[in-house]
Amino acid sequence: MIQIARPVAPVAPMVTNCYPAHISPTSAKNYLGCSLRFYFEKVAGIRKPTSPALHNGKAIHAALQAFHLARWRGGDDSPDAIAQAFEDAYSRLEREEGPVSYPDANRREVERLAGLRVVAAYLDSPEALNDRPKGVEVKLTETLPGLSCPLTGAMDLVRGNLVPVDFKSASTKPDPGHAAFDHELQLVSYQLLIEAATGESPPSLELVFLVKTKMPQVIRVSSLKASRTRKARVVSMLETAVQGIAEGRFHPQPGMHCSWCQYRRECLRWQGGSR
Amino acid sequence: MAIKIIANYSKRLGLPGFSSHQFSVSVETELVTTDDLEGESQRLYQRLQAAVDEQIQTTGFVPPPDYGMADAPAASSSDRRSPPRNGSPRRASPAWRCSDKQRELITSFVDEHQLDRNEVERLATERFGKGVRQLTKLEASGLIDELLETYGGRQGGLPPNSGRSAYTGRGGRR
Repeated sequence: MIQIARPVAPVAPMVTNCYPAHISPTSAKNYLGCSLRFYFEKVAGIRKPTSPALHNGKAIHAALQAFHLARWRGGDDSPDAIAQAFEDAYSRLEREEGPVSYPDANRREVERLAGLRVVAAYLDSPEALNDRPKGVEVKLTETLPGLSCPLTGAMDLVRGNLVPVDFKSASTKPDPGHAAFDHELQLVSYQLLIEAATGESPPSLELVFLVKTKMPQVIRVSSLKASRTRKARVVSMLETAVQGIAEGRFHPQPGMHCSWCQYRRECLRWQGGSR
Repeated sequence: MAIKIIANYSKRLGLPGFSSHQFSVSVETELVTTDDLEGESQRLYQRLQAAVDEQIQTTGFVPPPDYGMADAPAASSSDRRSPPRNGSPRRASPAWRCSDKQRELITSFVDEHQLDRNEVERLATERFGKGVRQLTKLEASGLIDELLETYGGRQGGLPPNSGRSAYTGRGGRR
């Protein structure tokens, strides 16, 4: 007996939300600030020329990291060594991350010298690290209740008493009253990571601003550790970002930040709809 | 003019407990004529391979997973086969305080780069004042960075970027 095979009706593809592999406080903040810009940068991977400020900030960060690592390891933390670390990072970043969009030929030198002055100001300031830190550039990944994917973060510095420190290079003097609120997502995320990783709570959370004014300033802003309510608030913000990314909700969010957005041309082409 | 042929056969096998062993045999001989060079090479290869394969099957001592770590007894072969002579229970090795992924990364890295475990213990003690097993997740993160920078060829200040976005989705809803 011969049987004739009957065609099977096609099954519609099952659409599922794609959760990110992890979420960082910076990425969450970027998404919540403008989800469409987040899409262009993080999902579509559209590269843009590095701005002078960003490039300078990265080199400053590398120099400070070299200093803290030297303190941690007992290495050479002299101003000359740290200045060399800044110069090395300056050149390496240009090679590895592409050209920097300097407006004119002299701007590079102006920015470089400004960065060196800021680093020197930090080394000379009372805010410079004196004791041995718990860790430098500490990367942690933890699963938290209420968050649909792991939280990951890289803390610039963790003091011996578990206080996380994040360094910010800025062109203007920050308002200490606003600073902790402006960076709440990041700082409280660091607290959550430290608590999950060690079982202990840091006594406070710190920001250290390196202000590139004519006379460079180093301003430390310390805030109390987050309460249970604030931690829940931050987890909710993180989860909001995670859900939005998973559901492909990327859309323009007009505001003052559009003035310096590098993706305005791409944004103008957005005609609605999800990813 | 005499023609020499030098042949070597080496084999390395992984063993439990992040251990491994290897054995190699070399031979050097003169050839009367080069007419059958290919055949002679083939015969030498087969003989060397047979010799290595026969001997390498005897694994000898296989260290336990905690061998060489601080606060861990260095168990010998006889210790593994017999209970303690004084009748007291064997002290269990302390559990790792860091995450499973960190533990796997550290032990794999040590094994892959054939690092001296005592040196790794020294590094942990120097940086954190405690042994590897006692490190918290936060401290283990720092140790991993130290290992990568010291032995992995990675420069400090610029963490590696694989270029793959973490936000293209890992599929499925949790």
